[in-house]
Amino acid sequence: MPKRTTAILVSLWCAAALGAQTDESLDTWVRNRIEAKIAGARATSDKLLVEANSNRVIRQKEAPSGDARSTSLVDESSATDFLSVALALAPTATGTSATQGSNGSGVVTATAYSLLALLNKKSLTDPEFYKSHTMARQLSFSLGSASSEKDRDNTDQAGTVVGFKYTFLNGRDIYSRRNQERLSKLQGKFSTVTPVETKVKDTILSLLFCAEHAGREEFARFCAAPDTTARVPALDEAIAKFRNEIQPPASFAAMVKRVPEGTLNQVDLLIEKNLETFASLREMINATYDQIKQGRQLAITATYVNRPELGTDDFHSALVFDYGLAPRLNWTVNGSFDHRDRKVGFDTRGGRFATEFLSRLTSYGDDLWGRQPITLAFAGEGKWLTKQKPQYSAQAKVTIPIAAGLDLPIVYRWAKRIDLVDKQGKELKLGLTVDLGNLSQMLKSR
Amino acid sequence: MAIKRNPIKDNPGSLQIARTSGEFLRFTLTVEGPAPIFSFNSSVKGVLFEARDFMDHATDKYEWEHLKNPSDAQAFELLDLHIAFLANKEYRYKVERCAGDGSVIAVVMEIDFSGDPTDHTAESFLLMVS
Repeated sequence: MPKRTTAILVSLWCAAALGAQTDESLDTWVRNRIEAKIAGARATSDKLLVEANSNRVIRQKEAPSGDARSTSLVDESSATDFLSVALALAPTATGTSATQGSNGSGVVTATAYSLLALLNKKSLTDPEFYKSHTMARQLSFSLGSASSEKDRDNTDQAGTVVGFKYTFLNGRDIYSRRNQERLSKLQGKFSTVTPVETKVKDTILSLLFCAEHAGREEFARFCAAPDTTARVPALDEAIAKFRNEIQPPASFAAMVKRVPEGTLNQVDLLIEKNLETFASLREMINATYDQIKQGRQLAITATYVNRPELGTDDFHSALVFDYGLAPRLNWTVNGSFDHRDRKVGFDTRGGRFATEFLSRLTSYGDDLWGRQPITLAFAGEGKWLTKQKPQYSAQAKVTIPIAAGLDLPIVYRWAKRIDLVDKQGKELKLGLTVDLGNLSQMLKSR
Repeated sequence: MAIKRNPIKDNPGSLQIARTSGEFLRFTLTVEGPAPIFSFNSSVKGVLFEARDFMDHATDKYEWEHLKNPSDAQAFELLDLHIAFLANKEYRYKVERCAGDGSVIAVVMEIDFSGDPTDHTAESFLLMVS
């Protein structure tokens, strides 16, 4: 986003935040005013706006890449936290033999954690259950069907897909040792900064009280230098009454409209005096979030596709590495061993290398369990199998969220030397991913 | 910023407690994990409790009492709960006014909060002790 546009947006946001909205209480008004000041300070120092979220999209929800009809060229190191269903729909345009006799493929992926939670009738986010089942979140299973093509698989009947994934290095799990240290440090910072905010809020309350009681002789001494230590019972009672009166958001908004500019300036000065402290907490929250979400992940995955009758079986095992290069950019690398077990003809074995760069194009919505952002991914794959010419493919994929828990991946794939046929091909694919965990949490929160 | 605040019983703004007759406040913070971060502050004494102070942290319920111990008593203070959503998506904050024998006289407030991971928010009220 151009700097000028950013500055305008920040100014508009600050202006909106500095007035009282009709749904604001004293607490939210003070918080919003602090956040607006932090954002304003950042904009003037030519830094980016607070990035509210990061790359929580980097979880595998699609069918494993071992399925030729999957809309994913690479496997990601962690499956969706809970339970997802991926359906690869028919290609929308043909360019290769891949379309002949195709059946849609569908795979359900679930973590051992989600199954255990289901069996124990526990909420997926139950703190104690979450804490004590870290290992279970590292293991996920896939079960479903894979499409078959007569030319390629010697059958046009769908095969059965069975797979597992074990993430033995999970830098994104909250309960990893390193992330626990990060959260503990953040709690320490939180307990250092928030009492300052409490003090500031207390003084702001006094300033607002004094503005509303200007000219009242009995409060003149206190209001000359509002200070929490200079209170007497009669004054305390008056402030408490005032606090009650301004608690309803509508009353608070009306009061803020009446407050003179000078008082609002005093409020701002008070915040600005402590802005560095407040900004340091904001920085630490954002940094901790990015560190956790960009953590390195290394997983081993294995998928077996069993096709009926004389159809060719596929075995695919891979080492998967994920790394968040930036809050909006994730890098995934796969190195794998593939084995095609042909019941008619010779088997093929070999290696495969794939990599993907996935970028988030839009931000997350307001709802934590709501719609995912639009993503754009570029991926490349090379396959070197015995008795076959090397195969190379590349793809661009846009994933469009349709609703919370429902995503539509659109893939344009180019491939060179499809199996034994020495030719180039390209196709456009559509998919559908359903994240049942996300969907159920979203519905629950409604 | 996408904090949702849903009062079941809203914050009264201020509260008077008869400490002389043994009244005290009971606070309950119910969380939907996995790792809550919070701080309960007094404008006079600073941090009174934080998540790590509880032996069974991280758990789904944090409970503490205020004014039961005579040393808690301040004539006038702002009690302010700060909660972060980084690793905990939902909180329910409940304050009960209790008699000396522990029975609940009234629910002072009960509010649900949810937010995005980088959000944090606060809920405060003034406490007058007589």
